[in-house]
Order: sequence, then structure tokens, then C-alpha cells
Amino acid sequence: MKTLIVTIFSLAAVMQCMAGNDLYVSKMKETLQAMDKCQTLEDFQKVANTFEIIAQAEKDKWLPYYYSALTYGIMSMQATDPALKDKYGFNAQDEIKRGLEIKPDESELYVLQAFTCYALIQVNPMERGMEYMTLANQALAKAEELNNDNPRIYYLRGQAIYNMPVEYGGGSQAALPILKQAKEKYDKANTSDELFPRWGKEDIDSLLEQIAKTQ
Amino acid sequence: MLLFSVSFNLSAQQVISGHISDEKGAALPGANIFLQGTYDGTTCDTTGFFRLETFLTGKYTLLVRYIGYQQYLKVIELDGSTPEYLSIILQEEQTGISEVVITAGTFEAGDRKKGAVLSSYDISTTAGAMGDLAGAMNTLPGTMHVGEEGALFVRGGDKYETRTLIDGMIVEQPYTAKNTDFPVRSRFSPLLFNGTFFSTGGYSAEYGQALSSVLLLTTNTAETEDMASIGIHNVGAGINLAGNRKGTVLTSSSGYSNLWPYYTLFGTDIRWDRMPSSFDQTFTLRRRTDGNGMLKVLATYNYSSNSLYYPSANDFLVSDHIRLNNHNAFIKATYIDQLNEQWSVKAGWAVNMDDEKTGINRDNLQKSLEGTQAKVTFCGDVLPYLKLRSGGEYMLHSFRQDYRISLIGSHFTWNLSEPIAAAFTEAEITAKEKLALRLGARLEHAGNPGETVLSPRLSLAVKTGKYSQLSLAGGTFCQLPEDEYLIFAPALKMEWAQHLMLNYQYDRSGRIFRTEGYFKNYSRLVTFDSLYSYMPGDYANEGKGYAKGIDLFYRDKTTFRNGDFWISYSWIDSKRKYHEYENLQVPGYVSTHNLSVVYKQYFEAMKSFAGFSYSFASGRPYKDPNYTNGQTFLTPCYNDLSLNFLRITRIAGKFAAVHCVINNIAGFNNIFGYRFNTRADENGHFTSLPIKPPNKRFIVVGIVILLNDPV
Repeated sequence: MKTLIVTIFSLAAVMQCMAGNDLYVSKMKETLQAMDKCQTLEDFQKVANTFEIIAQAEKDKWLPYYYSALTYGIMSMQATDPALKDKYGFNAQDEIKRGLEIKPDESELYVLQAFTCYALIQVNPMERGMEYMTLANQALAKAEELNNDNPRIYYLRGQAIYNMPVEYGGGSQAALPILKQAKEKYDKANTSDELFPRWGKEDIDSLLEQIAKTQ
Repeated sequence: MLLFSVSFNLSAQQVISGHISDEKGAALPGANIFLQGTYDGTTCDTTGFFRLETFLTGKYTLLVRYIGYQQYLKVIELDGSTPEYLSIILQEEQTGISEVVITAGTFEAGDRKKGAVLSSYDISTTAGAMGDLAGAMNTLPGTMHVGEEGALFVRGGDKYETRTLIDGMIVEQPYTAKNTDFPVRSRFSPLLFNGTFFSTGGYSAEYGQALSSVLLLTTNTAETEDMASIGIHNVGAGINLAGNRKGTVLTSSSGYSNLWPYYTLFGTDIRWDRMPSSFDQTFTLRRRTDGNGMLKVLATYNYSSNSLYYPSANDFLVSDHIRLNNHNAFIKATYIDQLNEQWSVKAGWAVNMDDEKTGINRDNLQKSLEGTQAKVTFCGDVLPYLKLRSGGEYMLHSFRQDYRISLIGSHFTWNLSEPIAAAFTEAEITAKEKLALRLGARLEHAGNPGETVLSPRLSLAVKTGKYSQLSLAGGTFCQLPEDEYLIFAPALKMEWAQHLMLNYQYDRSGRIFRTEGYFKNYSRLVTFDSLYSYMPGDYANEGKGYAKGIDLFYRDKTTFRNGDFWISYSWIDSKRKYHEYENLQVPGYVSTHNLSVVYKQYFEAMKSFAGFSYSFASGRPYKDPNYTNGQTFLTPCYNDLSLNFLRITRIAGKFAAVHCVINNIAGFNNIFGYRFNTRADENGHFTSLPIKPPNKRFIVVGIVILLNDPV
């Protein structure tokens, strides 16, 4: 009898745990799908809010913070008002910090750190360029040190070079080897975890296609 | 199943709805509302309304979050019965943009600092300043253009009344050594600092021995990568190195300049014997210690020399041979640490050394200065609305003047050693981000006159609207007279000034407008009968004076895309009786109207940047010895239009910045004043020579190459 009770209780606990985890996974998936459809800053704000709610409900998970930060990073890129750009960009960095408290050696969080730096540079390229480029490079180097199979490192690097004018050593030809490297890493990437960051693959493909067309 | 769920809904679903706004009643769309620790939450719509549905029962905490606002918390009981309607008002965060800041008398520069008006980048890219820190500050209101000096003159104050401090430590000789009628420059590169705080009056009790103004510079704290760059321009070259080893950042910058190539190419009106050359070396070290400590060291050395033939004071037809050699060193170390959650400590130590040798024909004058300063400051956030700052400092200042006259084969030496001890305390009270009050006092003791002076200080800021505030500052300030008088009369007392100013600032989305009216009263200024007297009895603290004026400033980063400009205008009325003045008169460095316009444009596609600055100053008074009735004349107005250009490019695979500055591009014939012959000619007339800038137009073209790749 005693064993039966113990078994039932532990089963219940396992089920509860599974149900809880299911809720987390389904809510995350649902929000990620919503994120794909976002267009305006208001749309993104809703998604960021939902990730924030998930983050505070699931205290031991870094992914909700990661996606909340990613959303704010995109908002910072998208906003035109410099004050808003700053607000979203610095908030994204705060969310990354929270994520790093849970998982200090996560390569993806450092990639995101670099991404937010690129967004913040736009506010005042002349004034911030030097400092934030340094910070972005440091973050990408750290991300590479933690996991050099992370394709998003090479995606961001390649795109930064692609966007730079040719006479400064940028442009499609200079970016091509790094973009190809990113493509290889994307193809190799093991995406068994459906919540794990995937962004960038489509962009790389279309970017490579575009370069191929112009040649 | 459907039935079950509907009935479940009816029985247990509860709705919490409401409206979220800021203190002014404006809706906050996008605010996040949720029950803590659960998945139940929603986002505010565009009109500020929200509707949160939940199946939960029991006691929960409702949280409302919005960037830039304080989080809102409310415990609610969910019992499935009454629907809740909440009207929630969020308060802006303390660090929000609209935080009230005491702005009277201050211009703050720093990247993300609140109340910042200029950034360190602005300082290094102001066209007319030619990379000079003091020159950039001269485009702010409250300053007066004094072309032949180059130093900062603030609100009717003489140049020695503005003190420069690095990380809170006094720099005794912030400018390069001065040769007759040649403007000086700041010894420090603006790139060493990420914070600049320029106060034109009413400053904190932490700062003493400054009668009119303080320029507070904060050295960089940012992390850097290993970096090496070289710069070459038409008047010199430099090397910059930075290294980062496990949190210790070490930087070195060396520079050499020589005007020989420039003057050989473009010619010069001056009869040079040896053209100006200088060498600079600066090291900085910063290290974060365990916990929150930060150690910052700066050591700099500068050598400059030149020699020329200059029309002699008592006969313009013959020339004096003037030689100038200057060695200067400044070393400071500061350490900041958090003692506990409330208190932090800042300790600093600094040494100043300056040796200046001036030779006039066969005579030699040598001035040697040594200064040591130790300072400690405690800062405490005692209560959420109360900050305390207290500390003390000790300065030992010594000065030696040695005059060798070859004709009579003798030399005279004067020595001065002046200890100063001071203690200060200050309390800052903030009330609901609407009001800030700072009350402070400084007690200062000077050893030689043996006097102790208490200087009270007060500042107040009141928010008058969402984007505007009114600020008031006042207090008394004291400073020992200049060394050149103290060596003859060491018992001279401290000079006094009282400041009172009222400031209005409007700051909205990249546009800042500010205006400030002020009144200053001077007393106990040094007076003497003759400039060359060395009898202590000839000196007294019997001078007095006043200054009053209005400053206007407008800065706009919004109107033009990637463009940025500011306009400063100052009007001043100031008179004083000091030095050899017989009665109250307008000092020779005062110009009633000063105007500066600075414009900068960034071209994103070309990765380049262009800017201009225009400066205007009305005439300054001078006396003509040919008119014995003491009549005052005004010099012509001063005008300058300068251009600068910078382009980032790549040379031999390395990043490079090409830069060019041209000052006085319009070729204005500026005259700063006149030198009158000390002896009249045979007709009883005193002839004169105009004092002109050493270069009518000056062009610097150069390139900086980054040796390592930043990408």
C-alpha cells in the first residue's frame, strides 16, 4: 500500500512536471510564432511582454530572457527616434544580463550582446562607433570561445562587413568567405531543441543568393 | 468536453481590467501587466486600457512593468466573484530622463550622463577649437574670447580664477607655457576624458581655491581592446597604444610637434630664432579591483621650447631675444571603492611640477613650481532622498622665482611655501523628482596669511514642467592670489567672490534651451602700485569688483538629420579695481558680447564628417598713453570662421581617419589689442604695434592610422 501511494504521488509529480514543461514549451512556441508575424513596434512590444512573463514564471530558464532581449534588440533596430532606440537597446542589454545570471557560458547570449551593440551604434555612429564596435567584437570573440559552431557569430560578422563600403574593406566580396562559413555552420547546426535560436539562416541564404546574382 | 470548459469558464474565470497612465494622466500603451510567478498576463492597448483574464484563485501579486517607469505591485485576492477595475499610475524611474538636475552654472559633458550638454566627442570635433579642450569650452556661454591668451576667462574673472581638476585633483598648470602675446593651449588631450563638467559658477563645496569657475575632467573608465595607432600631421606626429591584461588597462600616448615645416612652407611674420617644438608623453593605468574598487593613475610629462626676436618694449626698432623652455609633469592616482551599500570612498593623491625658464637677451628668469595634494571624499546614499558628501584635503604649494641679471652680475631669488588645508560637507535632498536642494559648506585654512575662511554654498532645482526646470545657485568662493604676487607679499589674504545665478532649462527630444542670469561680487582682490614692485608693503587686498550678465544657449540634435548645432551668446557687464587699476574699470579681457555657433554634419554613406564654427566677440577696452585724460578705447571686434573635416577610410588594409582643420578661413584681420612703446618719440608720441594672432590662418592636415584591425 505504502509503495502504491509513493508510486502514485511520484507519478503525479512527474505528470505535473511534464504538464508544467508542456505549458512552457507550448507558450514559448506560440510566442515565437507570434514573433514571426510581428511588423510594428506595438506587435513586438506584446511579444516582448509575453517573453518577460514567461521568464518570471520560469525562473531557471534562460531562453525567455534571450527572446525578450532579441525582441527588444529588433525594436531598437527598427525604432527611428534615438531616445527610443536607446531605451529598447539598453533594456535588451539588461535582459541579456539576467539571462547570463542563469547561464553564464551561453554563446548565444553573447551573440545577442553584439547585436544590441550594433543597434546602439546607430544612435550616434561617430560618437559611439569606436566604443561599441569594441564591445561588439569582444562579445563575438567570447561567443566564439564558448561555441565556435554557433553560426550566428559568423552571420553578424559577415553582415557587418557586407554593410561596410568597399573602400573600407567591406562589401560583398570581402564578406563572402565569412558568410559562406556561416552557411556551413547553419547547415551543420544540430537543432533538436525546437526552442533553441534559429534566426539568420533564411537571411544568409537570401544574402548569398543576392551576391551570386550580382556576379 | 466543450460543455465542461464553458461551465468551468463561467464558474472560475475572473477578469481584471483597468487603465495605466503616467503621473500626468497620459496613457502608457505597451505596459506589461501580469500575475507574479504565473503565465497570466497581458499588454496595455494603445489607449492605455487592459483586460486580464485568469482562471486562478487565491492571493496573487499583480505586477505592472514599463521601461523607464517604476514597477507597480498590488496584492489581489482572486475569489471568482467581483471583477476588479484598477486605475494605475506609474511613476517615472529615478534615473529617468526627466530627473531633476542642478544645472545652474554647470555644463556637463558625458555620453550617457543626465543633464549632459556636450559629449567628449563634441569637444574633440569642434572646428574652431583645433582639438583644444579650453578652445571647445570657449564655445559655451559664460566665457569670453581673449585671443592672445587662449586660456578660459569666465564671467568677468581673470584666467587664474578658472581651475582645472582631473578626477578631483587640481592641475596647477593646465595650459602650455606662455610666450608674450602667444595664446596657450590645454596640456591634455580631450580624448583622455569621458566626462567633462564645466561650471561657470555656484559649484559644489568640494571645490575650493577657485574664484570663478572649475573645469572638472574625468578620465576614461571604458574597457578597451589592445590597440595601436599612429598619427601624422603637418605640424607633428604621435603614437597611441592601449593594452588590456586581465582587467588592467594601460595606455600610452606620445606626441612630438614642430612648427618648422609649417612656417617654412607658409611663411611667418614672426622672426623666429628656434621655431616652437614640444614633446608630450602620457601614461594612464586603470584597474578594477575585487569588488567595486577602481584605481586610476595618470602621469604626464611635457617639454616645450621656442625662441624668437620680439620688438623691444622701449624701442620697437630694436628686438629682444626671448627664449622659452618649459618642463611640466603631472601625476595623480585616485582610488574609488564602495565601503558598504550606502557609503563609497574616493581617495586621491597628486603631484604637480613645472619649471619655466625665460631668457630675455642676457637676463634669465626661472620659475619653479611644486605642488602636492592629498584628498579624501566620502559619499553616502543615507536615505533614498538624502545624499551626503564630506571630505578633506591638504595641499602644499611651493614656488620659487630666480632672476639673473647679467649686466650687474647678480641674481635675486624669492621662495614661497604655502600650505592649505580644507574640509567640506554637503547634503543633497531630492523630493519626488520635483525638487533638489544641495546645501554645503567649505572650511579652508591658508598657512601664510594664517586665516580660515568658511564658504557656504547652496543650489536648488525645481521642475516646472515635463521638460523644463528652474535652478538657482549661490555661495561664496575664495582663492589665494597668484604666485607672482605671493612671492613678494606672502601674507596676502585670500580673494573673495560671491555668486548668485538663476537658470532656466528646457530639454525636449534632442533640443536644449537654457538661459542663465547671474550676479557676482568680488572683494579683497590684490592691488599694488607698480607691476614690478617687490616690496611686501606695496601689495594689499583692497580691490573689489562685480560682474553681471545673461547667458543663452541652444543646442539642437534633432532638426537636421545627422546634423547637430549649438549657439551660445553671452552678455556681460563687469568692472573691477585690482592690480594697478586706479578705480573701477572694465578689465582688458572683458568683451561685452560673445557669440559662438558650432555646426557638425555626419555623412553616413561617406563615413565622413564636416563642421564649422563661428565666433564673435565685441571689442575689449584699452588705454592709449597718448590720451592723458584716461579715455578708454575699444579694440576692433573679433571674428573667426573655422572649418573641419574628417573621413574614415582604409590605407594599406588598415583603418584610417583623414582630418583637416582650417581656422579663420575667411581671413579676418583680428587685432587683440595694442602694445605701446614705453618711451615717447621726439614728437612726444607713443607709437604702438597691434597684437595679432601668431598665424592669421592656420591649417592642420593629418591622418591617424589604426594598426590593428577593429573588425
